[in-house]
Amino acid sequence: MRQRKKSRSGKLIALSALGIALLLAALYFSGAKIGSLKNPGGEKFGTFSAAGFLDNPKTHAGNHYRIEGTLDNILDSSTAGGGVVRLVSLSVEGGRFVPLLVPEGSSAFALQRGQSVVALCEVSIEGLPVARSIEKK
Amino acid sequence: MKLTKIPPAALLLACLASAMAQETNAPAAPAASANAEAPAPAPPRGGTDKKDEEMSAVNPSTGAVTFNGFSWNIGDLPALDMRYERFLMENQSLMKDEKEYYHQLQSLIVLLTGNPFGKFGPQAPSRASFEKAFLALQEIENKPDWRKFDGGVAGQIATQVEALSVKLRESRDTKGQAAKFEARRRNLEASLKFLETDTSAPGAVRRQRLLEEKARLQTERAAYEAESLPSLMMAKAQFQVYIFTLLAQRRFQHVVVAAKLYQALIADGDLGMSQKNNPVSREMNLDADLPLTTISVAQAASMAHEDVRRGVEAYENQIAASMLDAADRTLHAAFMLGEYMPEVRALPAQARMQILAVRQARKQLNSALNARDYAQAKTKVEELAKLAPDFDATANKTQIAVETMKSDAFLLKGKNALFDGDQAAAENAFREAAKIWPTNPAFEKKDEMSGQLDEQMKLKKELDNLLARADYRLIADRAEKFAAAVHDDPDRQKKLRSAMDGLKQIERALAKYEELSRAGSHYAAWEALEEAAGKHPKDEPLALAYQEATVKASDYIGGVRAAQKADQEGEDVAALAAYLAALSKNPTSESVKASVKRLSRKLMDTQTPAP
Repeated sequence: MRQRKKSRSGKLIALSALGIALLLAALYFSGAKIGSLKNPGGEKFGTFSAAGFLDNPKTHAGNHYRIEGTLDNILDSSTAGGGVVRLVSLSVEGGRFVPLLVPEGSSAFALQRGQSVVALCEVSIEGLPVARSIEKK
Repeated sequence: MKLTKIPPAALLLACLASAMAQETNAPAAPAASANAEAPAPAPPRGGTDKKDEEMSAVNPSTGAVTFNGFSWNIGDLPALDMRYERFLMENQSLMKDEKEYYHQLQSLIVLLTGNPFGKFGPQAPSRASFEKAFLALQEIENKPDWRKFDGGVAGQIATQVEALSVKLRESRDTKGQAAKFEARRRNLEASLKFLETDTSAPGAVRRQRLLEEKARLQTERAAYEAESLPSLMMAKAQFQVYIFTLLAQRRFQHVVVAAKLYQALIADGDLGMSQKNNPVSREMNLDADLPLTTISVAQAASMAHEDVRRGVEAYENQIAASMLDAADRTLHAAFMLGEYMPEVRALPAQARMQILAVRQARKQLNSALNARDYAQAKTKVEELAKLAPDFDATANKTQIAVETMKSDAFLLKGKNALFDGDQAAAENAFREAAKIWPTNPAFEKKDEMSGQLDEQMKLKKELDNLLARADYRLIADRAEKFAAAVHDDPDRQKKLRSAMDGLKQIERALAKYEELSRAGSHYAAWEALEEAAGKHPKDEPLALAYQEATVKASDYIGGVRAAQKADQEGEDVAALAAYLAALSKNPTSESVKASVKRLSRKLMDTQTPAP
């Protein structure tokens, strides 16, 4: 009786995992949006942990993250290189703030304080998240 | 007997007067005074240099007058000076009795000399004059109102005259006895001559008896003469001594009277004075070879009196011309010689009082100069110039100017040394200044300045200590004194300004802290103290407030400290994130805002997209 129960739950887990894997593979190969976000390169964007990241941002260089938060402030902006580049601060979970560089073209809307946004980012070698794309949540 | 020229005694007295005048003219300078007090060198006695012999000098410390090879102690000059000043102070001149006394004395002189000036000639007075004079002397002696003016001198002269007269009478008796002895001697000689040819035995016996009688006669004669003759000589000598004594006492009128009476008694011309046995001549150290007669002594007295008369006349002329300084010197000289002369005694009291004022001012000037009190000396010179327009103050003024300038120069040198902090040099200079002018009034300023400098040095040291302890509050309490103390010290001035600015900053921070604390803005309140507390950690009120604020804003402080730490370590992103978190708690923090701005710009500039 007990053996029959074990083999039945193992089958269920295996089927679930297979299903998930098939879904992810379809998304990856089709270049489709993650949620509503564009992901032209099709990189994998990990879950962002502000506490872990802010402990030592430089160690996260090259990582890709999906960051959700509220646009706290536009810290600086520059038009060097032809487009408008902005440095903004995002208020994220745990009352923390994360600086985010928003290059020209990565945002399809006008950035305003208080907007809830989701950004797909890559961490620069200085440890600064640079948005690939940013959208309102 | 040989009458020789007189000059010695007369000139002696004349020179005595001039020598005294020189003494009163002594310069007032200390050095000069010191020289004047030094004993005069003894002149050579019996020297061959005539010039040296005629020079006279007065030793002011002993009152000894030296002249022409001998010296004469005239008494204590300071005592004579005191008598002179007492005379100047007497508020009236001749009293009625004194006038009558001097009139009587003058009558005697006219009677004995035949002239009012007492000029002494070789002619002895007549018997009648002698007798009248003798009676006049006795009259003076018998009148107590007159007697007090000469202290019994007239009576003494009468006594001397009487004593000598008695001895002269005895001498005449002695001469008669001597003639008897001589007659007996001649008789004996004749008898002896007669018996020379008689060779018989009785003749020989008689001759032997006569020889024995002759020997006895000689013995008797010698014994008689030995007893009688010296008493006359003694009486003459005593009279001579008394005349000399009167001369020494400067009672010149009495000298003339006594000498004339002596001359009348010793009519045989034996007027020579015995010098070797004369105690007065011994007192005067008279040279035994110096011929001296009663005539020469009387003439000396007469000339001295004449000198006094001339001195008084000159004095009166000087008074009339308001030459009070010269008048004092002239009168002093006349008084020294003619203290008992009527011409001096009769001088008006008012002018004498003026002279006394000049004399006292001159004495005070000399005292001030001797004591090196040049401020007082200057005052006295001015006073003297007013009292006696003829007073020549050139030498005094020059001395005062030179000495005060020297003292002031040393004082200035000392002050400069004091300012330079050279205490030893300053003390030396002040010592030199004090030696020259001990009562220099600038010393009070120097003491004041020295005190100020001491106070200044103390304040500077105190300021240094307070600055080292950063005790700005105590510095502020005495800011004015410190500012005055460091007026010449740019470095300390800068430090003092910095301390005062620091205190202002602290006070501003504390005020802001109080205000924000009351509003409940504890993070901002802490931040208001943050900068001041970092700069001035030793300020107690600030430290206490900062401690309190730190407790209230501990979570905010933790965020800021974390941001600062990351910032320092070059973790710009972490630092920016931490500053942003802190700013969210305290949005008014200018320092956090500045850090956010700075780091934002830095990240914008340096961001490099990942490859």
